[in-house]
Amino acid sequence: MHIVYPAIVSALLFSIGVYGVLARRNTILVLMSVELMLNAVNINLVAFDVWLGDRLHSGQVLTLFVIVIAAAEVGLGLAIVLALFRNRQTVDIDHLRTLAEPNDHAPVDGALTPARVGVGSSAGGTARAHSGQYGPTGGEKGAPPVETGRSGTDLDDRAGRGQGPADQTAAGTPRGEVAAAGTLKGEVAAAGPKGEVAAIGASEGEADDAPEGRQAKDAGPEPGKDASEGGTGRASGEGRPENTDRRGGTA
Amino acid sequence: MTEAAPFLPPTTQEVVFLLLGAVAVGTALLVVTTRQLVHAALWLVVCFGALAGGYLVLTAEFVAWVQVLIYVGAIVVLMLFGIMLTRAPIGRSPDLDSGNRAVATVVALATAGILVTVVIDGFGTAYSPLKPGAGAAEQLGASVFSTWVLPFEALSVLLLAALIGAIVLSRTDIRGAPTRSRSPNGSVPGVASSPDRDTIGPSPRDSGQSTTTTPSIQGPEATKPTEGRPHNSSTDDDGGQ
Repeated sequence: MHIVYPAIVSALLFSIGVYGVLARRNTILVLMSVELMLNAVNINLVAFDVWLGDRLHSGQVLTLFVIVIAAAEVGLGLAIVLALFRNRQTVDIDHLRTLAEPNDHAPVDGALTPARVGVGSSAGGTARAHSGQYGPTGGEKGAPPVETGRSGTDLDDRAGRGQGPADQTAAGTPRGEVAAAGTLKGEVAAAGPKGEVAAIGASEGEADDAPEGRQAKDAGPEPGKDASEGGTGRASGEGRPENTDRRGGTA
Repeated sequence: MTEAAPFLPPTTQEVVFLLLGAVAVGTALLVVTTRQLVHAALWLVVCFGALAGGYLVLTAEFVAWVQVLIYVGAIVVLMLFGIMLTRAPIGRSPDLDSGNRAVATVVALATAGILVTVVIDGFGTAYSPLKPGAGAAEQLGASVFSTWVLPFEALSVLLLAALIGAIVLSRTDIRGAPTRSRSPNGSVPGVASSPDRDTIGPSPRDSGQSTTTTPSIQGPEATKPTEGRPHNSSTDDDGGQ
């Protein structure tokens, strides 16, 4: 047996596992891909054990150990996934952004913003998380840079204290179906007490005809963490607009 | 470790191994590309079975049976349980892939290219005749319980720890110290406490209760929600609906 055959099979399996870990969204599928990578390692261990003719069978014994560790890893991983599902009702990795630093990726995403927002406004519901996430930079796009910096920190502060209806507007907007019902209220709420929000939102709105896109950008200057966390609930279209207009009314 | 065996008339073992390897790679591709979650788990069974066959061809019998028992018998069943318990959609679901598929493809192709190139360059001529029975349970057991007995025992302790950890994580009526120690912003007790409770110390009764209470709390206190909290509660009541 040429050793290169199992080695190539192992290399291919490993890269397939890498693809799965990077491209999949469901946590259980990511765990499956990790299993594929571990199996690739196992083939390598067995093949090289055979090649070296090890009297102690180090390779095969280590393969057994890897299998046992993989079993432990899957058990713990699934327990974590289930705990996550119990608390968040989702296992999509893209939606679990609680630990993300909101201010870190805001300037980075600025380059991507027009395309993303365009996709979000046209695709409606599918971009529910992204429109909120990239919203802040969408808002900044229309304003001069100095102004954006100032208003960004200002709003950051405000959202940190949790006041101001821009918070709630952002919570309502990331999904497309809200836009139909809540457009007027959302706009009013965003434009009411905050001058800079209204200005940015208006300049964005002229650039873009679609009401959903406009509202998503109205939500823009609110820091993205809030909206993207809000996006973790996927089916929550009906709960949010009421919040939005209630808060718009109180403010 | 004899060198320079000819490649072109492949031996029967090599042909069988290559066929099994093709099955394994093909089903692994299906695992990472299929649109149906349950099918991914079932393709994973085929992939692991083909790999067990590959181990058999490589004369690692004991590893092959352990692979069948643990991977096919335990791990995939555990995955299926996970799929069912997370109420994954049965059937076609369009959003199993995240947005970075292109990047993932590039990275995976680069990894495959580098690994295959290096492996062919390094072990292109390595050849080893297969001796039947070299990886039987007798040899492997003697090796495990003489030379590798300490790692073996450490591994059993690790399994025990993982078992206890999984039980603690998945039981809902255990409230450990972390439940109370992690209360990040207790400035607004009425709002902050109830999502906090169902975030960390989850029990079905609690989450049900908080889904009913938090929206009503959210209304009057709308001027001061802390940043992550209302969304936690709202995601909870999304799932409840």
